[in-house]
Amino acid sequence: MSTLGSRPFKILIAEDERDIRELVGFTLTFGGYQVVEVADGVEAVAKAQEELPDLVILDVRMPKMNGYEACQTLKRLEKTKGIPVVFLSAKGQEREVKEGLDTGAIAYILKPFAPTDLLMEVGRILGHNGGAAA
Amino acid sequence: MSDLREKPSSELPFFRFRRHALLIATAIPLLIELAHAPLARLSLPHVAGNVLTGLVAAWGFTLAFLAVATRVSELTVDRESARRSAKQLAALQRIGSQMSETLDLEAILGAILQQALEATPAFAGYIAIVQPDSKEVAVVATRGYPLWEEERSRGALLMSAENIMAELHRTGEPLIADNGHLDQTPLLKAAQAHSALSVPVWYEKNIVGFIHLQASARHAFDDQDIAFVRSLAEQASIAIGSNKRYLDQVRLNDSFRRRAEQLSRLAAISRSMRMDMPLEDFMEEVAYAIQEAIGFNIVMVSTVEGDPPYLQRRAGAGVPLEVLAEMKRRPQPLAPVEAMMQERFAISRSYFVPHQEKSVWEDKVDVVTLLPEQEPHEPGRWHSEDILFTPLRSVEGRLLGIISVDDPQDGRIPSLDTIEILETFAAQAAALLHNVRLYEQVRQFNALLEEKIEERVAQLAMANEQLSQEKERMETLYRITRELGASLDLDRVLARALSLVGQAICAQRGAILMLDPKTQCMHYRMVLKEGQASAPDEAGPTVSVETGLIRWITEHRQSLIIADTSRDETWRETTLPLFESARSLLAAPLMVGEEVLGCLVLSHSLPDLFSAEHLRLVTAAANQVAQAMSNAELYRLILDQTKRLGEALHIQQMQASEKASILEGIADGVVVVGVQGEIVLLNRAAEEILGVEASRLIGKSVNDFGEAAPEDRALRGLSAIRKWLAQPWSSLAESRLEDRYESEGRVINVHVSAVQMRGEILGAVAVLRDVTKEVEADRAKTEFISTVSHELRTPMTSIQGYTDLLLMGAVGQLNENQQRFLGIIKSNVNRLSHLVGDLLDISRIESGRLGLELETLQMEELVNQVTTAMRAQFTTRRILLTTDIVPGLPPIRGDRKRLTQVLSNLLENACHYTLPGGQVTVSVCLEGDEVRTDVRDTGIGISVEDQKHLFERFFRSEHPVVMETQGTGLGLAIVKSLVEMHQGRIWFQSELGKGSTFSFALPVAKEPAINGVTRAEEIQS
Repeated sequence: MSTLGSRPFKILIAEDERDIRELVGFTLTFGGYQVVEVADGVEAVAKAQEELPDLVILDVRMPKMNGYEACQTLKRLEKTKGIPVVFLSAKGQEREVKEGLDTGAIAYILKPFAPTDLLMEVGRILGHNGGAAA
Repeated sequence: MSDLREKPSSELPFFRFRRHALLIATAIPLLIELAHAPLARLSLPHVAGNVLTGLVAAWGFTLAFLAVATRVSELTVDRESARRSAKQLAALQRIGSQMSETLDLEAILGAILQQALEATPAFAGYIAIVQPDSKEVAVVATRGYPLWEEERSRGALLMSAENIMAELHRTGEPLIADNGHLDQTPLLKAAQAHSALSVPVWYEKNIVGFIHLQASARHAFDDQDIAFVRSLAEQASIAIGSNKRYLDQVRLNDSFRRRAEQLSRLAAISRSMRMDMPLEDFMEEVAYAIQEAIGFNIVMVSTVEGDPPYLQRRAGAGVPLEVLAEMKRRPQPLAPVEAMMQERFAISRSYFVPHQEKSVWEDKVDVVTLLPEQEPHEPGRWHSEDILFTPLRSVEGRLLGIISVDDPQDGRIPSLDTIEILETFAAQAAALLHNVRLYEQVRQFNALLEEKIEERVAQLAMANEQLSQEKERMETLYRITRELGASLDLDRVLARALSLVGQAICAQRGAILMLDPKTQCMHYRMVLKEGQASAPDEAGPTVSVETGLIRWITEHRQSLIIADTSRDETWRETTLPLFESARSLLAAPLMVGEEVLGCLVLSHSLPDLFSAEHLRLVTAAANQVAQAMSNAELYRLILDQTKRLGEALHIQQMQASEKASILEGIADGVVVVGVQGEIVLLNRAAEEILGVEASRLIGKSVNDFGEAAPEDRALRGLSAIRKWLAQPWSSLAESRLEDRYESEGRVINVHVSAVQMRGEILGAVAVLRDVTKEVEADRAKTEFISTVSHELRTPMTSIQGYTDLLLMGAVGQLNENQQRFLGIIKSNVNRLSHLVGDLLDISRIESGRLGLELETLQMEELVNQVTTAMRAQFTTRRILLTTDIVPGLPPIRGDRKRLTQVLSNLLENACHYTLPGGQVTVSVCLEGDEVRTDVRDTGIGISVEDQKHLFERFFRSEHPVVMETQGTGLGLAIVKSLVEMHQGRIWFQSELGKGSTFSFALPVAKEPAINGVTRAEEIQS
């Protein structure tokens, strides 16, 4: 289990595509993380305040509120501004990546991705080797 | 009033007080009146009129009354004296009222005397006054003398008055004679008179008379009486003053009237006189005017004449005609008259020589005495031998004559006033005399002038004759000149000139010969025969310049006349067709500068016909003809030249307009600049693209435009040219500059290159192309690819993700087939993923949206990283991967990620297309100012046919090995673009079956620049 002390890390996933949300959710659960899933930016902001996860993974293109806006909102809120945010997007152009990072995100993972790569990146961000082996 | 208070007190102070009070009461209203009086009136001029005189008199009395009142109060205080005082006051009041009633001096003085007798002890008296005219003392009023005695005693009174006046003048005080000693005043015997009082009458600080009183008692007059009489004397003084002023005024009025009359008379004379009036008449007018207006019975006017000057009597008035005629006959010497004009005789500007001084003129001047003098002569009366005359002077003071007068009508020596009037007449007369003199002079001059004019007219008539001849010649010359100037048709000009000159000198025949410089012969250019000038029908005969007349003219370059050909040596040697029968001959060379063009020959069949005048005319005409010939020649040359040039120009214009219309027709903007950047050409499309009219840019330099403002289309377009021109001169010939800018929603492509002619750079031509549509289409395509790629990625993410999860065994163990099939899925998803990546790359490169993050890099480091990462791949395929890197290479500037992509791509290709057991070498070296990287393999090689298409997008070789290998056909296209974006070059060498070497070279980093972006990104922004 990936844990902080005795408690497992909690990761909030915001992704409108159900298939991909489940893929990420399954991968992270498989990696030993506690996962909270939402389908849009507004829900993501609400859930983040409620759950106070250790990491937020945001899709960029989402209904209601896109990933950038959600990230900016989280970074503005006192309760959530310390939570690292990672973007997960098919938009891989330099400009888009730069824009994402400028909103305060810590990483930008391009789709498609290999589940192992995702786990490695998350583990790196949360400061351990991650994965079920931990 | 102060003296009243200061008076020492007397024995009857109370009474005195009362008297004071009374006096004050009496004086107050007078004082008030005085205080309100307009004092200024007192100084008004006398001419103001009688009313004023009366007023002045009244006020004079008032003032005197006050003075008397004051003085009366000082009189003795006894009762008697008080009564007398009252009486005297009453007397003064009476006089005052009298004075305000009349201005008659005698009446007033009589009244004063009357009051004196009434208010003093006197029983008789008189008042004597100095007469203003004669200065003699006259008794003007008497009282108390018996009437019969008065008349008789007048002479005695006068004598007495003279004596008293003398005494009064000495002392200035009243004179008292007492105790019967009246010796100083030897009065008319008034037996009872034992005392006398004489009180002076003052007027303007002079004693002008006195009041004389006689009393029977001795010591009859006390102080009070004296004071009273003094007051009366003051009254008299006032009366005299009033009277004098009145009289003055009357006299003044009189004199004004007289003066006005005289002046109007003068004016009348002036008006009546005209310039053409005979002098005598005029002088007579003056004489009679003086006689009538001024009042002299005899007036004589003389004028100064002759040299030496003498006086000529001109006119007289009051002189019998026969006497006057005689006087006019006898001129008067001027010297004695001048002798009389000395200072001591001068009165104003006239001279008065009293008869006592007649020695001055006696026996020298011819004086006619008409009237015998009456003896004895009275002083102030005119003497028949007195002489009075006024000189007539010109403005500058010259003596023109005199006016002398005699026998004044009033019989008295004339006053200054009269003399001045006489002078006024004289001045007027002098002025008129002067004018008349001038007029006479002018008339004389006129006569003289007329005489002279007649003389001159005669001379001129002669001169005119000569002139008209000259004029005719000049006109001929002028006509020739004008004809010559009017036409450039040489034949017409010459024909006209020849016939005109022929006419002018009456020549029968003439010719213009022209020199042919080649043959040294003259040929006939124009011929005059029977009054007709014409060009000879055919070439005609020629004349050698080597002989005879023609030779002479050519050598001497002068005109000549042969008076008679039959006696002329030169002519004898001459053979000159047309002139065989000539006797008189005139020939002139036609010259321009020093060059002889030909000659002009004219002849007549009679000898001695041509004069020097004719020669001059023909010479002058010949010059004009020569000039015309020269002009015509010049004109012909110019015309030829013009025609040739005109044709050439026409052809050029055609060509140019053809080119111009082609240029105008081009859709692309064309801008041509000179080497200095000056804009020389701008077609319509360029105007449209730059948004500026050509006229605003032509002639200006592109360097005049500062750094381009992004919104200014024109400046942005021109800045590319400026950039191009800023390059080193040597590199311009080969240089091409491509630029693209976006302005106002349009994208403009600029292409600048050199304009060259025979290797010389003449400037630059910029082609501006509006590529907005292309760019838009490209963007749409890129956008489409971008969107499609993104849409593809989402499902790919799921496929790849779930496949990976399955392969990871995250949902359970897999059997071998399951494992293999999932591997195939994963491999294809990877391929798809690459394809999408490459597509995105190529679309971004093409749309220029791919930005480079430049940094300073060591190629060695990059190569090592990539080879390390890929070594496993090579190992798997049993290919030997080696590197060969020259140590200490300079850095390059590049985007780490993109250069890694380039290297990876080349190495991947090398790996794929090299068979197991082969070898791949990556070598890096410095070549010039580039770092060159070679990826050499011992692979399958590339066919020559394939080599042509290698860098094309989606190109895949049909080589079986390639067909087996997964690939998008985009890799090398992307690699080439990336290398070129780094200002680098990429190329390859290959031989089918032997292997290939892919090389790229990147420029060495010039300076440690900050990380930036390339131009491509600049455009993007």
